[in-house]
Amino acid sequence: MPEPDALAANQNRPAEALGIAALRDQVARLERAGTVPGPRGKLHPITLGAPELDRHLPGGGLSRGALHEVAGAGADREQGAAAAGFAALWLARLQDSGPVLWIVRAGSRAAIDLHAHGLHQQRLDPKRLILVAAKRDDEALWAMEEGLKAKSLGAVLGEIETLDLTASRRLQLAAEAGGVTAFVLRRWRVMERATRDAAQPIAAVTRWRIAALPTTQEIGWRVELTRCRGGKPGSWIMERADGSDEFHIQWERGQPERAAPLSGDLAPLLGGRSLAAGARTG
Amino acid sequence: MAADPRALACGIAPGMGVADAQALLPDLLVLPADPAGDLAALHRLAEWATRFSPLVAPDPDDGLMLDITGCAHLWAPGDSGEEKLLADALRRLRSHGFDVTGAIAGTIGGAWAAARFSTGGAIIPAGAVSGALAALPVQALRIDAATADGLQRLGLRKIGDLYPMKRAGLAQRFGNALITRLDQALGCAAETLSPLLPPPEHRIGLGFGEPIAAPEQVRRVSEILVERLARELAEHQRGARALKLSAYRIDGVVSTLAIGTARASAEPRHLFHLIAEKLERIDPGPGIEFMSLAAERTEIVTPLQSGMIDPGLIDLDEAAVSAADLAPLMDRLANRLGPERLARPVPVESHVPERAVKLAAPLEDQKKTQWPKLPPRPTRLLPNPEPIEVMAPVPDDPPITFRWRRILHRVTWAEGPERVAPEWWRPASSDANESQETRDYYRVQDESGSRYWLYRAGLYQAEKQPRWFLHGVFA
Repeated sequence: MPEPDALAANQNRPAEALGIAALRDQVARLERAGTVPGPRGKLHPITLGAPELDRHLPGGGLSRGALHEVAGAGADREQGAAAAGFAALWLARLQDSGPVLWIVRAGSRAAIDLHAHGLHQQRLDPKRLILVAAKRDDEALWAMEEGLKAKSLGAVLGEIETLDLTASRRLQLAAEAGGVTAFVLRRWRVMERATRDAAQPIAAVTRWRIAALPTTQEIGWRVELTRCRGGKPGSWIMERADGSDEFHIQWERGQPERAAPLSGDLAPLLGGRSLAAGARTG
Repeated sequence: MAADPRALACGIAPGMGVADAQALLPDLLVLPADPAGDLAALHRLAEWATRFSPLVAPDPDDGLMLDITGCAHLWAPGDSGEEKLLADALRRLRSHGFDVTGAIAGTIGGAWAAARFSTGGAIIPAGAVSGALAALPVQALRIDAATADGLQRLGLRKIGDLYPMKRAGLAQRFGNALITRLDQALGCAAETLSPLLPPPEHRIGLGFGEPIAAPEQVRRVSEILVERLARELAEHQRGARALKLSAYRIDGVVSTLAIGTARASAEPRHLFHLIAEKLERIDPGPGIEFMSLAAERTEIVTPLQSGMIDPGLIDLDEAAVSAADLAPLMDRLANRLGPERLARPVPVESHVPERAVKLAAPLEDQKKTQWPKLPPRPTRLLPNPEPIEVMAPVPDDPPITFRWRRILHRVTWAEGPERVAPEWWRPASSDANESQETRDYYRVQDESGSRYWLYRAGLYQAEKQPRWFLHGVFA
C-alpha cells in the first residue's frame, strides 16, 4: 500500500514516491476528486487540526470544492446535533475563505433549531454564518446550488433528508465549478427511511457517520468514514475536553496507516475512555 | 339615484326617487348603490391610469386626476403630445365601457371644470385658463350646491361673472372656500395632487402596437426595461432597492410584480435575474399593451472597485472584493424563498437561552459584534422547550430517567444546575409563562452517549410536582 501522504513520502523515497504521486495525480484527475485546479488555483485540502484524522485523508485533508456528507447515527439521525457539531468543526476551518451558508431544515426563521452559541463552541464563528430556512429538500438543494455559485462563500451546508445520486452529482459538479466546499448534513424524520437512505450511493467525496459516545469531555464521538474517494474508510474515537482545542483521537477500526502510527498520546486517551466506560456502567 | 344614458332617454333623471322612476318606467332595472365598490373601482382605474403618468389621484366620486407634466412628449413630439395623450386615454376608457370626458389644463381646478362643463375634449393652453373658464357655469368651481344656488340667485351664473366682483364681498357672503376654489382654478393659489401611489424615482415604460402575451415576449420586454432603467440609475449613480414591473392589459387589468434587493443595485444582469425568476406572476390575460418598470426605492451606489473593501458588508478582508456576489445571492434566495427565511445570528445579552440569539438581516454589519463565552451550549436548541416526564429521586436533583418524544432515556451522567433567572423586567404577557420562571438547566447524558439540555421550571415547592422540559441537544 502506498503512503497516504505523498508529500511526506516524497521526502523519504523520492524516486518511488514521484511515480506514485504522478499516478495519484492522474487518478485524482480522473476521479475529479476536488483536486482539479478551480478558480482559486490549486485548492489546498482542509485540515481539522487533528493529525491522526487529517493524515488518513488523501492529500492530507478534506478536498475543497467538493461534496462531503455528514450524518448522525442512532438518535442523532433525527436530531442532527452531533453531526452539526462535527460539520461545524470543518466549517470553522473554512471560514477564512468566506462566510458559511447553512441551510437549516425549518419552515420559517423562527423554527430554526440551530443554536449559534452551540456552534460557536465548536469553533464556528457565528459572525460568518448566514442561515437559510428551507421547508423541503428541493428548496434546500436549490439554495445549496445557488450558494455554490457564489465564489466568495467559504462553504455551503444543507440539511437534507433524501438525496439521490443525480442530486448529489449536481452538487458535486457545482462545488467543483465554483471551488466552494459543499456539505450535506443528513437529517431524517422517519427512522425507517434513514436506514434505507443512508445506504444509498451518493456522489460525495467523503461520507461520515457521527455517533455520540458516553464521555465526560465536551465532545465524545465515534467518527466513521464510510466512504472516501481516493482513500480508505476508517473509524475513530474522538474526544475533546471542555474549552480545549486539542482532540484526543483513537484509531478504532480499519487498517491502521503505516505513516500514521498510534502515538504515545494513546495512554491518556485510553484513560479517558475507561473513565467514560466507568460513567456508562455507573 | 343615478341613471345610464338609456334611462336618461326615458326621462329618468339622477336624484329621482325610486318610486317615481318606477312609476315612469315599470320594468326599470334598479340596482342598490355600492359606494365602497365604486371607490374601489375608481382606485383600480387610477392604478390602470398610471400607464399615462405615475402621478394619478382618484378624485371621488367619479374623477381621476393625472399630473402629466413631462409625460405628453411620449405620445407625440411637440404640442400635439397632449392632444394625443388625451385622445388615447379617452379612447381606451371608452373601449372599457366608461362614459368619460376629459380635459387638460394648467391647474387642477381648470382641468376639473373643463372636463365636466365644456364640450368635447378640451385642452386649455397655458395662460388661457381664465378666458376658457369664464363661459363655464359657477358649478364648475368645485363648490357646494348651496353656494352655487346663492351665486345664481345674485345673477352670477358664469365663472366669468365673478372676475369683476370684489373678493372681500364674495368671501363675506359665501365664505373663503369660494375664493380658494376660484384662485385654485385660475392658478392664483397652489394646489397639489395627492397621488394614489408615491411616484417612483425612476420609471421606464414601453407601449406596443400589438398586444403581447407570449412569455418570451414579456421576458424580452422586461429585459429591455431593465437595461434602460439600469442605465438611467447608473447615470444618476443610484441603485434600486425595490422594483415594480407593471403590465397593463387590454382588458384594463394591471398585473404587477415587485422585487426587493438586499443592497442597492444597478446591475442589469442581476436585476433581470431577479425579475425573470418571478416573471410567471405576470398574467398576460388577453394581451398586454403597455409595460413599465419603476425603481420605487433607490439608494446611492458607489461602484465597487477591485481591491476596495466594502465596509458595510462582512468583515472579511480577502473575500471583500468578491463579496459583491453575496448580495446577489441573498437577493436570489430572498426572492424565491422569501426574505424572512434568511438570517444572520446576532448575540443578545439575555440569560434566557431562546433569547440569547437574535436573527438579523443577512447582510447586516457585524464587525462590532462580540460573541460571549458561555457555559456549554447545545448545537440544537428547540424553538419551543418540550415537556418531558422525568423520574428524579430527589426533587432538587437531576432526573435518573426521562421520556422525550415517547422514548425513555436513562441518565448516566449529569452536570448542573445552571440557574437561569427570569427576566423580571419583561412584561408577563410577552411570551409563554415559562420565561417568567426560574430554570435550572442540566446537561445530561443517556446510555447511548447522546447529551441533552434539560431544565426544571420554577423553584422547588414541596407541594408541587416540578415540571421538566427538554430544550436542546448537544453535539
